[in-house]
Amino acid sequence: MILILILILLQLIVFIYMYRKIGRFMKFNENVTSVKTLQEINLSTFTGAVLFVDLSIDPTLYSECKDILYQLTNLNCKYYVLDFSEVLTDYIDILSDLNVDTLPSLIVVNNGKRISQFTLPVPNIQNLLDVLGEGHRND
Amino acid sequence: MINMDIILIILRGYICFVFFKSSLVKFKNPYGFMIITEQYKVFPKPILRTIAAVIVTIEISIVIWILVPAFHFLGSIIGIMLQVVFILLLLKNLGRTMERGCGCFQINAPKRITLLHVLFNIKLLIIFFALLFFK
Repeated sequence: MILILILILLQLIVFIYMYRKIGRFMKFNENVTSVKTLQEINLSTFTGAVLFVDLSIDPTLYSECKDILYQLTNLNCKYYVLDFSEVLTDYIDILSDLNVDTLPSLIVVNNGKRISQFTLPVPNIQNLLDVLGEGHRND
Repeated sequence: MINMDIILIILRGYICFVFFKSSLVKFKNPYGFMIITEQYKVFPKPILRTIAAVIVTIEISIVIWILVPAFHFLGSIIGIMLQVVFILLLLKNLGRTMERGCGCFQINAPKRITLLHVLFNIKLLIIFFALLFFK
C-alpha cells in the first residue's frame, strides 16, 4: 500500500514538473516573435546580431536570450533570431561561413562577415553592446 | 532448454532500457516533445501540453512498473495501450517527414516515419503481450 502511494506521488511529481516546464517554454515562445527562418533573411548583406537558438533549450538560457534581445531592442540594434535546428539540418554551411563553433551563440555580423562570437550566457553584455557599436545600429 | 524466467527477465530489462532511454530524452526536453506531439496533428492544441506531460510520465512509470514485480501486470497493460497509441499515430503519419523528429529517441532532428518505426513499436507491443501472458 505504501509502495503504491509512493509511486502515485512520484508520478504526480513528474507530471507537475513536466507540465510546468513546458509552460515556461510556451511563455517564452509567445514573447519571442522575431524568430526567423533563413529564407526570410539575407545574411550576406546583413549587419547586426544573429542569435542562434534552439527553440527547446534550457529555460535559463531562454531567459538569457530574452535579456539580450530586450537590450538590443532598447538600443535599436538590428538582430535576427534563428532556430539552429533548421540551420544544422538544412543550412549547415552558414555555420562554417560564419565560423560558428558553439551553439547556442550570438554572432555579430557586419555586411555578412563575422566580427565576433558570444556564447550564451553572455558573461559581459556591455562588451557585446560595445562590439555591436554605434555603426551597427538600425537607425 | 532455456528457462522462461530468464527470457522474461531479459525482455523486462530490454523494455526498461528502451523506455528509460526514450523518456530521458523527453524529460530533458519536454517542450521539444510537445512540439513533436503537435506535428502528429491528432491532439487538439489546448491539451497538447497535458498530453506531452502525460506521455512522459507514463513512459517513466512503465520503467518502474516493469521493474517492481507487484506492478508487472499494470506495467504490461499500460505499455500495451501506449504502444497501440504510438502505432496508430505512426501509421497515420507513415511516410511523412517530421521536421522536429518522430519523438522516439531524438528530438529536433528531422526524421521520416517509415515502416521500420512501426515495426519497432509492434515489436515492443509483442514483448508487452509476452510479459503479460507469461508472467
